[in-house]
Order: sequence, then structure tokens, then C-alpha cells
Amino acid sequence: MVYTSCFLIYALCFMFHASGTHALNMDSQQYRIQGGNINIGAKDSTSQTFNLSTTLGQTAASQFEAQGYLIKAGFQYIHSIIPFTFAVSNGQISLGNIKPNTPSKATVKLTVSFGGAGEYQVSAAENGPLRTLDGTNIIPDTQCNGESEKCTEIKAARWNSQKAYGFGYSIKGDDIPSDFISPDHYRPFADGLQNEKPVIIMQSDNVIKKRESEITFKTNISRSQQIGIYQTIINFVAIPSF
Amino acid sequence: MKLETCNLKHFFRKYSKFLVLSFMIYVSCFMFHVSFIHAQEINLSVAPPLIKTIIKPGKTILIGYKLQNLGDPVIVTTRVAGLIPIGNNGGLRIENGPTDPILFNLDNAELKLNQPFLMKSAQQQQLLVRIKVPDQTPEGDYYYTLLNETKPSQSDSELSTSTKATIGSNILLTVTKSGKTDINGKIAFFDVVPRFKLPFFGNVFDSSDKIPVRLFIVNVGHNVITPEGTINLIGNFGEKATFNIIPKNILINSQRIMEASTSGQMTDQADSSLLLSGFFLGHYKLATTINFGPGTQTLFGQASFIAFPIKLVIVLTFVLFIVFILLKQYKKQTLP
Repeated sequence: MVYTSCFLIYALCFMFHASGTHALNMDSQQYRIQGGNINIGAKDSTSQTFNLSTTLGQTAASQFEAQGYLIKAGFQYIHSIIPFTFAVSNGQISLGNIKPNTPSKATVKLTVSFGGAGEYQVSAAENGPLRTLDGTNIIPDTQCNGESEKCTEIKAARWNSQKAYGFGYSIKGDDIPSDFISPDHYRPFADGLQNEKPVIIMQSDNVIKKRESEITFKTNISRSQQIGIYQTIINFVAIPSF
Repeated sequence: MKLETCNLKHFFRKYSKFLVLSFMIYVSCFMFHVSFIHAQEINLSVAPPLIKTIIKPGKTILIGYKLQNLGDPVIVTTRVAGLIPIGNNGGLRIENGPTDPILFNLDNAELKLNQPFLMKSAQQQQLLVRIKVPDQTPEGDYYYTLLNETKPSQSDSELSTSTKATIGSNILLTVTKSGKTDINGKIAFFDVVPRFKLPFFGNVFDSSDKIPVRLFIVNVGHNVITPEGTINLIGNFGEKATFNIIPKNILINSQRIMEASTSGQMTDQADSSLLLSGFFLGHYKLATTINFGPGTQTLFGQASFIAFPIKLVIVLTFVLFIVFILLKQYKKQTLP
């Protein structure tokens, strides 16, 4: 009995006397092995009024500042970086009912947020032109006013003629292409069904917190346009740069 | 009991008009108090936005992503696509198709790649992405993006478009058996963007002009490079200013414009690496020193420009000319 008790106490001593493990960076001229700290005990605790995040295990976690330098070291800083966020204000854009020679417009707001300093791009493409469900009738992509004011997927041009028909978009706000010089300047969307590559509509090398743009969809149809329900899908793709 | 029933009947008879009126007001309140219907907002966030890693063939890594729905409930599909760099400003093109030779899958018990799942408002979803590099994978760089795309909703309007939002998080993989990487870069362009270019003088600016400097680095190696270094401005009186290059990844077979600033923080200069401002006079030299980390090659580049107060000289000449004419006329009038 005594022997058993001693053995148990001895074993327990070993179990609770676990020594700490330290990470170490090892390097030579050709290799660098980084033994990072292990983030133990990380947790998000929330209540109705508070949001508390905790991390544990980082050595030398602090904000270090010198002339011209700022180092934020520690899991908490990594943890607190605002993630890459992309928002489209409306998932369904109604352009109203078909009224020949009466342009109809609708707007959508695009918002990109990036924690710290980062780069991003937003590209757009349509899943085919506006078309009826059976696909027999389409509203073609705009060519803007045409002739000297003809727009393409990568070049905006003026579209204010009531006799110029089609579907296109204009954009205003942050980090937009420079050819959208007025609210009357439009482009057609790149057509994904025609294997056209999505076109970048927002791009920045420098995003601190938030970038916003407003995209205006416009259609104008002729009297010969067939009655029907015309729909398409616009795909906005936001990716951070590298 | 009978008495109570009589009282109740009496009460209803007496106040019947009032009760009916109250009921109508109550119903009306409900009718007019219709809550607003908001457009369906799509708002997704993903972290981390970039993973850059070196991995040996035959190894597997697991990366935990946090996907958060900050908008209305939405159906999301997670998939992986290839990435190709475009342009000089860090632009990327997504290449749909198989991700060969690298294998991706989700370790989540209830989720799979390319299979839609519902995300409620404010829901956070951890995506455990397992990246497997098969044994026979050739050494080199492989670039991908983890895409989370929403399912577009239908509209009843005659003319309508549905929007689909896709958010990506980039994955830069360097596959190497030995741990060695082929880091090799070249200065593709380093010069000022001149206002005038004169023979024997070279790049000429007005003293008050802002002077744009461009530095392009091209990746001629087989792995991603991250240039670091400085751009130094040296004046003819020995004055010196140092600008730190902001490290940016340059993928293979691509070049990128580098940015530099005194603080090492990103600035808003478009299409130039550095925008020098001040009052310049005489001959200036620009020198850049670039390396790609400890034990790598160092690149050097030089450029120069001359600055004169051209505008001031033109204005002074014009003024002198006017004064000269006025004096001449004055002399003509005063002489007998």
C-alpha cells in the first residue's frame, strides 16, 4: 500500500512538473528554420456590449517604436488585423419595366476594406447579356453613343443619346478606372459566356481602411425590343493583391 | 354566475362602439407600421488575405481561414482557382480550372469544396483548407486563390440583374525539395519621368516641378522575390535624402513597380515609385540599392536629372522685355 502510494505521488510529480518548451529560430547561409511561438488559449469572448479576444503564448508581445519604424509584435496584433472585406449593397438590381427610349438606371455600392496596408482589385463580368429566360431575346451590350463615342469593355465613352440602345455601367468613387470622366461615361460588361476576361473596375496599391464606389447600371431599349423578362448575373470578384 | 354573465353582456353592450373603434385603431396601427424591407446586402470578409509558404513535395499543410458573413443570409460556395499576375501594379487574373498538381480540400466535417452552404447573418465559418503537394510535384512556384462566392438571388422585375460577390484570399506556394530557392531579380527600369529631354543635358525639370521616379523590378528567377532597399537622392552640394523601398512580392515571369518613401509607409503616388518635391537647382543623382534578403544578390541602379528655374527665367525675360520696350518708348517721347 505504502509502495503504491509512493509510486503514485512520484508519477504525479512528473506529470505536473512539465518543463516549458521554447521556440528557436535556426539559420545558416542557406536555410532559415523558424520555430514560431504557439498561440495557446486564444479565445473570443462576447457579451451584448463587449467583444474580448485573448491570446496567450507570445514572447515579447508589444508595440516597438523607433524613428521611422513601428513594429507590432505579438499574436494580438496579428489577430487584430482587420480581414479583407468586400460588400455589395444590393444582391438584386431592378431596372424597372420595359419602356422603349426611356433609359432606366439602378445603382449599387461596392465597398472594400483591408486591415493595415494592402492592395486589392475588384473585377466585374456579366454572365451573358440581359436576356429572356428562354434565351431567344437579348438586350445587347451598349456601344455607347457609337461612332466616335464608341465604348468597349476597357474604354468608357459618352452614352447620352436616347437612340443608343443596350446595357452598360458607369462607376464613380475610389480607385476607379480613369476613363470614367463623367456620369455619362459608360462601358459594357465583359461577357463571361464569350470567354471575355473580367475587367478591373477598382484597384489600389494603398488601402488603409475603406474604399467605396458606386456603380450605375443603365439600359435603353428600342421600340422593337420584344416584351419579356430580361435578366443576367453580374459577378464582382474582389481579391487582395500579393 | 348568472349575474356575472349579465354584467359582462351589459359591459359589451355599453362599450361595444368603443371596443370596435379600439380594435380598428389597433389593426390600423399594424397596417401602417410595416417595417422597411432592405435590399439584400452581400458582405463577406475573409482572413488571412494572403498565405505565402515554402513546402516540400510530399508534404501537407492545413490552413485555417475565417470567413464571416456581415450581410444578409447568403449561400456560399468555396473553391480554389489559379492566379496569374498581370500588369505592373500587382494585378491578378483568376484562371478557373483544375488546380494540378497541388491538391486542395476542406477538412471541415460538414463542408466540401465546390459545394454550397448557407451562412446566416453574422455567422463565422472556419474553413480548414488542406493543401497537399504530391511527391512528384516539380519544383517551382504555384499561385492560387481561395474563392468564396455567393449564389445570386432571383428577381421578379421585368429588367433586372442579380449580383454575385466573390471574395478571394491568395495562396503563394514555393515547392522545393532542398529548401533552396532561385531568387533572381533585375532592375527593368530606373529613371525619372522627364518633362523635357534635351541633348547633352538629359532629363530637365523646372525647379518647382514634382519629379516622378520610376523603379521596375522584374523577376527572372523561378521563385517569388521580395525586393528591399533604398533610393538615394544626392544633390550637387552634397545634400542627400534616403527613401526606403516598400517590400512587395513579385511573382515569377512578372515585373512590378516598387514604391519608396521616407517613412517606409505606402503613399498615394500613382504610376510612380517616388514623387520628389521641393525646389531643385542644378544636377542631381539618384541611386538605388536593392537586395532580396540575407545572402542574395545586390542590384544597383543610377539615374540623374537637371533642374533649372525655367518658369522664373521665362517670367523675368518677359518682364525685362516689357521694361525694355517701355524704356525705349519713354526715351523716344522724352527726346526732342
